Amino acid sequence: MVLGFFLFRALQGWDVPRARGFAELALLLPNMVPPLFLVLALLSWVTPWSAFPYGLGAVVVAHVLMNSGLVAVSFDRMAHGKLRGLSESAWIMGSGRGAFWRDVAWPYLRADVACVFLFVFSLCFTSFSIPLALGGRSNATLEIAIFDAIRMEGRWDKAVVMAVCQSLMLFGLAFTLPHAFWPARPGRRAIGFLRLSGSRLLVFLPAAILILGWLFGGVAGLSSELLGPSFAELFDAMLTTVSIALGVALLHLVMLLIAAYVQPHFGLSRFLNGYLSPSPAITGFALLLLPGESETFALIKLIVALTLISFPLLYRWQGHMAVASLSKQTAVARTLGATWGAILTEIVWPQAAPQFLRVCGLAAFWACGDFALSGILAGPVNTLPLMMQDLMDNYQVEAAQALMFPLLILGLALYGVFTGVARYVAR
Amino acid sequence: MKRSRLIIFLILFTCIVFGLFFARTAYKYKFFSREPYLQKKIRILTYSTFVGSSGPGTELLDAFQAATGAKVEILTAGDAGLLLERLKLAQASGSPFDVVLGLDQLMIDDAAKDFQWKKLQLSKDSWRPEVAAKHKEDFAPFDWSPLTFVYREGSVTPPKTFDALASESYRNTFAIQDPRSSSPGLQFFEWVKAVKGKDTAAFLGEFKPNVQSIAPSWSFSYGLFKKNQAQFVFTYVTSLAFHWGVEKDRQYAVVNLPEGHPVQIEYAGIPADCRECELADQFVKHLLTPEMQKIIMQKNFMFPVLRDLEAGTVFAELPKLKTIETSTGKDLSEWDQVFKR
Repeated sequence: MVLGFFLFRALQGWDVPRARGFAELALLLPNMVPPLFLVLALLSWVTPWSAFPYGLGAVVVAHVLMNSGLVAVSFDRMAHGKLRGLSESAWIMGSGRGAFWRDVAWPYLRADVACVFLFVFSLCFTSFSIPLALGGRSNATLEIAIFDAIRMEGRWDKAVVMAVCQSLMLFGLAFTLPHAFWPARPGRRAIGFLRLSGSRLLVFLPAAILILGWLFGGVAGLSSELLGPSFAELFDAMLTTVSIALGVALLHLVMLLIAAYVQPHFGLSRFLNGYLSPSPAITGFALLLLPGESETFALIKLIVALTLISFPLLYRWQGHMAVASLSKQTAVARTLGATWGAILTEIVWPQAAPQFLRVCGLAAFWACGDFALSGILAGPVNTLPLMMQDLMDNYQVEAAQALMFPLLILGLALYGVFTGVARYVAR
Repeated sequence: MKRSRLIIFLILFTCIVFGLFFARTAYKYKFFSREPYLQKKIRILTYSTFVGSSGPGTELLDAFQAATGAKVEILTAGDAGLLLERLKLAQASGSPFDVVLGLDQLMIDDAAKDFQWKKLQLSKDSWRPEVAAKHKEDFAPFDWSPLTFVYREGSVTPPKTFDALASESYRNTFAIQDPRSSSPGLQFFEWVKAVKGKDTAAFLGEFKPNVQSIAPSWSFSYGLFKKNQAQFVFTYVTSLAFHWGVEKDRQYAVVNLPEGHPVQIEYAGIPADCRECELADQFVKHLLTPEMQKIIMQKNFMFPVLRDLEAGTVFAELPKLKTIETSTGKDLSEWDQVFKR
């Protein structure tokens, strides 16, 4: 939250709308990329100079890197919604920045800040892939303790009790949150009064850490010989990864349309805005209990699991805004006797489709890079992240890192396709 | 108009997804044939690396299918540590496996306790003595390797005794794995227990400053070693076969300690509730044929169970280490006492 606050102030150094959009994208990049990329970037950064500090510290650093930009952008949107006029008045009247923050901004924003805090808390609380890869000594987080209870001890009872406690806590958070954390529209201009002078380049820090980390790791990998997979295997893994990503995107779209279709629904809104997905470990193992173990079923289970994990988060982050903005219109339409189908096709889809498709793009991007749930559920299916894991298990660390580039390109291409379609639909 | 657009969009999107699934399946199988549905089918559970693109699984299974005409269905459980949990789930859902591949000796006590297994009639005559000595009648070993620290010659002087591992001259040099999440990590801890007995916690306390990193998995710690971050990594002796044979790099060497080294043996087992038990028995015996043992050796970088197969390969040149008997418990209290502080 603290780093996010400074990044927000640095963001106020960017005044031109296009440049601001670019800076926002850079801030959101660590949150947009799948955790695997974040892990590999951090490993590449640290290991040329010193030992990688596996453990709680590394997990915290990874989550700070991942979420600080998100916090900055949400602060920016809040400030534009509530403080823009006030800050201009304060500036004209010669108020000091400290007094403005203490006496004006804080009373206005504290409920929203609490929402952002709780969102980031629940995001880290349910994080699985990063503690799994960077946690070092186990039980670094509750998620890993749940995974260990199944893996090490075979104690499903213990794992389920812990998962229930986790879910109850998340439910509690859901009802503590006064409203959605992601505020309305992006600000097109900077709020000069809140600027942290000389720090505008700071907004690129998280993205620079990621991109340079990929370059450090990936370039070393490109010079190595890829001994393991043949082109056919690589192509099959890419096709599978794309299939899974598109399946996840489709399921997200269907769920978003359903969520919009039943609006306004106070209980559902409250639930979707506060609740984050259940433990991925439990979700993965629970889906294994369902019948069907062929490749097709493995793919379907993986798609369902990835959707269950990412949908609540993406809904809160991106989907809610689109759905909420339509709830009054749908209420009026329903009162006037419009059918459910007409509401969906005449009101929801035309207005919410661009935003929904962007959510689908992000879901596809995240699904591309999943290795934690895929490791549990993929069965005979081979995806690119699993192939990377496989290469690392066969002494070919550099080759695994080289595979990061096609995976990243694939993920970005899918995201690009969805945002392109979103732009077309918006027109 | 708008309604039909949404419907067209959804249908198109669904078609693309299903089209991709179809293309993927068609690409994988080239064409569809009724044959697989007429064949007998054996269900094998293993860990993902074994059947991954660089593992030995695909070749082994293709050879078995060619030899018997049976269809092989492979299911994976992520890493080897999840095999037994996956087996539990399969039994609970009423779809048992015919063969479980990849159990190690730290898991087979739990496996024997929690599940019923079919007795295997195997001849040990041609087995390596290190493996024959640890044979359990319900399980068939299919590869093995002692474990030790690997280092680069010239970069560091290797320790000569077990106690020297805790020497001050090796501060911050060893990459090891977490015993909770990694089988080699657990082997390391059992090694310390076997050598130091009651003094395990005291030794680990002295060794702790020498630990460069405790990685969650073998691959992460080996990555650190390959990136020159750690001087030593706890791994299989057969890791040298990869560096010497594939990378043609002879600078890698192993630490050879007089106290002896732990051994990892991988086993296959046939659950008692198997459906194609006869085929499963054939598969296990197939694993122990010289041809298949050679494939396992070359692709899994582990020693074969059968004698005299290494001749003419880099495996014959690997150092012979004295081995030590380790326990198979999972009591990590001494580890926690030192490393969780």
